[in-house]
Amino acid sequence: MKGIKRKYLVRASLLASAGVVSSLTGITAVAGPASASSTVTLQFWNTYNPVGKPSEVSTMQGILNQFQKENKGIKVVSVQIPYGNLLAKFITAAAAGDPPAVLRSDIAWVPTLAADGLLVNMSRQKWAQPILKGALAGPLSTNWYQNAYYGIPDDTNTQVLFWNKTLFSAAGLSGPPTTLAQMWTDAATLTNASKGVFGLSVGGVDLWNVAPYVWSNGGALTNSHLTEADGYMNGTATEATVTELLGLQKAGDIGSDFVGGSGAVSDETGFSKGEYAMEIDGPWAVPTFNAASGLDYGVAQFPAGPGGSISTVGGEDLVIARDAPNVADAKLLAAFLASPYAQSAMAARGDMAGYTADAAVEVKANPYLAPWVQQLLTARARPVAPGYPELDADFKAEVQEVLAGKLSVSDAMDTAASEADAALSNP
Amino acid sequence: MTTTTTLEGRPAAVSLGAASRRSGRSQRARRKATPYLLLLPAFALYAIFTAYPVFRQFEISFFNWHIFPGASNPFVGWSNYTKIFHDPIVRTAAWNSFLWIVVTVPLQIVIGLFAAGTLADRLPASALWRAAIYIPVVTSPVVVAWVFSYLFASQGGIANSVLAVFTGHHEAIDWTAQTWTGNVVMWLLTIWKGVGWSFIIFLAALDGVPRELLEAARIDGASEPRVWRSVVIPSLRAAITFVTVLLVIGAAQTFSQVYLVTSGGPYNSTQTLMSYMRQLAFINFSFGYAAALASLVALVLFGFSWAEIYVLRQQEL
Amino acid sequence: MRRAVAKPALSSTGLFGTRPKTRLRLAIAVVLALLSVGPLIYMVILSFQSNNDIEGDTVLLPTHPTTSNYVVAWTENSFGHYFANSFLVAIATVIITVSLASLAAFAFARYKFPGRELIFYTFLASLAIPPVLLIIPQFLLMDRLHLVDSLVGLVFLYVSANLPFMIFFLRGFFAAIPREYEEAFRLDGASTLRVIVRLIAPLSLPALALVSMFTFSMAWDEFPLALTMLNTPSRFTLPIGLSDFIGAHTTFWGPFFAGSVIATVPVVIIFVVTQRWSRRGISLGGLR
Repeated sequence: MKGIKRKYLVRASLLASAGVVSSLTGITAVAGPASASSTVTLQFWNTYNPVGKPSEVSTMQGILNQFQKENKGIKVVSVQIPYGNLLAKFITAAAAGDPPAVLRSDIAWVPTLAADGLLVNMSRQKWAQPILKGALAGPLSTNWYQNAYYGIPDDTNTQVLFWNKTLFSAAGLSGPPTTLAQMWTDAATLTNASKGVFGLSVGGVDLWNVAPYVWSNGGALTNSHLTEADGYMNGTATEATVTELLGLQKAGDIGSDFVGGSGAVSDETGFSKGEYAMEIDGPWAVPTFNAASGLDYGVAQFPAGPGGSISTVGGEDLVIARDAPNVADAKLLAAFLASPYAQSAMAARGDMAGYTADAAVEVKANPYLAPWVQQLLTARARPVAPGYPELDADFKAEVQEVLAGKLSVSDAMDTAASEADAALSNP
Repeated sequence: MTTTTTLEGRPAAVSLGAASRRSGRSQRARRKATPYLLLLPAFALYAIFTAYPVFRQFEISFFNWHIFPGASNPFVGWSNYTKIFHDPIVRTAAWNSFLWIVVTVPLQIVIGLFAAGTLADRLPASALWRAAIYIPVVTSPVVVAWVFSYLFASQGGIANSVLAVFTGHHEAIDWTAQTWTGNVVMWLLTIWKGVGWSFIIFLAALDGVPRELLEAARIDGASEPRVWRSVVIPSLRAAITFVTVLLVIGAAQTFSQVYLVTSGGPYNSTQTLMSYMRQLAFINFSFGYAAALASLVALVLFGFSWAEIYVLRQQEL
Repeated sequence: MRRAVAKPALSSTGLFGTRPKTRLRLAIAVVLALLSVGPLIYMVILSFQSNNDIEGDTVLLPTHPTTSNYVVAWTENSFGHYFANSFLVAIATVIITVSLASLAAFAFARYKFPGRELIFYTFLASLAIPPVLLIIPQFLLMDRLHLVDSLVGLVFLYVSANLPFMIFFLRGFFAAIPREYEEAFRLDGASTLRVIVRLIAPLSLPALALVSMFTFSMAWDEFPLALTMLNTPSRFTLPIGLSDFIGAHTTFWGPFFAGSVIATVPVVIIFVVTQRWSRRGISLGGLR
């Protein structure tokens, strides 16, 4: 009887939809972390690498285990998120009012996140005062937004000069360049097209790679208040630096990763294989270079120009989301991660400490970090403004236009400067 | 009246005769309810997890939306939409998306159809060939993008070597440094990855071509082209429409390829609408504006799809 | 049950009639297959190249072949866990999607009812919505439903995302099934559900096989939603695990490729399995 069978159909579909609805509500037991009500679980989002022995992940896990031992009742879940997606994921979670307790944020993101009101103001936190005071100047400055610090430094790094001793002596050069001018000529001398050797490797056209040259050459990107780029980004020294680099690129003295794109040989790979005679890089490259067979290399400070020897500050800051659950415990975690114990443990893994006191210790424990520690004394942060990512993207785009032969350097820099002005004025 | 036993063991009645007309009304009511009941689970799920977020997104487009819960979100009416028409990047992005569609969709259809036609009938090891052609569809876009980067490497990439062999053009092309070559790489990637999809759908459609019709037509003495024109192609029409609609929508929504392949190349000039939206939302934090752009794109795409389906329906009748 | 397995008829009922042009077609098939699979074979080859040698001069064969990448990929990162999670999610998504989509597609194909067009286009409309931004409102919703960081929640999202396309697809197939078959069935007193399960489904095996496969591979490869929704590493799916090799500073291409190869295998298996099903399906003409 059709009618009777209809009843079963009705039941089936109602059941199905009811099942959908009820499972939505009954799902909490399956979904959330199964923790006892007295234990607080904190989420710590980062971009640590799982590869290597020991890996950043395992080193951090050791640190977290210690924290959990000292703070019974707090459980920390360390979540690794791919770098390219971390910011988006954090923003999405914050938008729902559900951010992680602590985020190990790229320094470039801190002003943006602070501008959107997402972060705890560290300057107002009592517990953070000694931490802020003990931080290195460069890394600390990356947390600055509207007269307050919105994060505390985690790890820092900078770039120094790696030079290939074998290639240098083959080219008749006795030692690494100590001045920028010397670096330009050395780049040309060291290039040996027939052997596939490039004198210099510049990792890209974004500010992380280009700024050291600009600053050391006496150029600037913005004024000190980070409100204006016009007159600075398209200033004489800046334009001269860009022109110089592009000239070297045209002459074939710079490696393929400057232009980038598909199949470009990265600075580390090229240097490991002896294809790049010079490159500037951070301490993470050392294990790679040590493992490269037949590579005899030296490390030196970034060559000094009219502006001095000024490299870029990189690294990560720890920020606490304003909306984070268990903010009080999150502060404990952040403080612990900034403590000498944690900082030195990670420094041994190549993540240099962002604090003055730790600097001396980490050099003792890891002598190879000495050049970076020294370079950090004069290293400068890229413009610490909410609009920085846009600024960087615009700068990069303009330089690429010049590389493509569409614009002259001065026109490109003028455009970059005006675009930067717009980015800086847009909080 | 005849009775037959159903699976459940209850007597069933075929509805003829007065006895069933008595319950005719409630039967009709239940029959009327059937399609809705069939639709209910799917629609419920869809309404909650897709339709509602879409409405929220549409709603956001009318505000200058800040992400922090509790922040004030000023209502700006249509201004996010009018901004779209004055944004030069939108123009570039729209043009790139348009080019993307116009280049990749026809090729995917034609090649897919060609491949399906080739493999529809018996062939030794046909399962192997079919699997091979389909595999690119299911590989991760990230992996595929990098493999293509590798193939099109400016120094020593295989693509350049192949070109050198065929055209004697020995100077290595730096594919992602220029806009149009960068686009070519991405289009090739899209086509390569997408052909398998249209192929498999056309294959299924060709499997559904009634074989006796083919046989009958041939017995009647029709020429091969005639057979194809009057039997095969009409059976494929629905599939072609379906594939076209979805490929166009897919092409308009490509995002990952752009980001992955040319993240080192000329940035703004290879933006598509999708990559621009992502930048607006997650780098510039202009969610409202991004939402407006998304809504507008959705509207255009939907209009196109609706139109095409409408045309197909007309042809069916 | 009347179920006949039809074999593709030979000679005059093939697509190419009495001249099947087998050799030509075989040649074309091989070429197409090579072009399709070539880059991937290359990737497999690369996965045996030690990580340090991958960048730089492109080679055709590994200069220093090694299986270390596979070891690294599998052990460094709870890969087995990710594999299992992805599998659970994918299977659940397929089962639910196929069931719900079949019911709905049948409704659209067979019945005329007020609101039919409207509801159909409502489903369809979502295909046109750029998914890039939708993540934010979806996350807000999931948060409110306490479904964040839940594989079940992910399944719901995946099913919901796949339904429109699958319904659209199946509707065409169902509509093509002649009503006479169904009426013969109903005459025997079958309920609608029975009609769908016992008649329509077997007749549409090729279509259902395709739907299953599409859904599986979508759920298997999906990345943005999974990354945004999941917070506990033990719940992560395979694509997230793979992307861990793409670091902020350096990318470990070797393990990445090896992991990708491992990740591609199940989808290929599913493809082969579903292709078998569709071969067993009834070709419509065969029942006359």
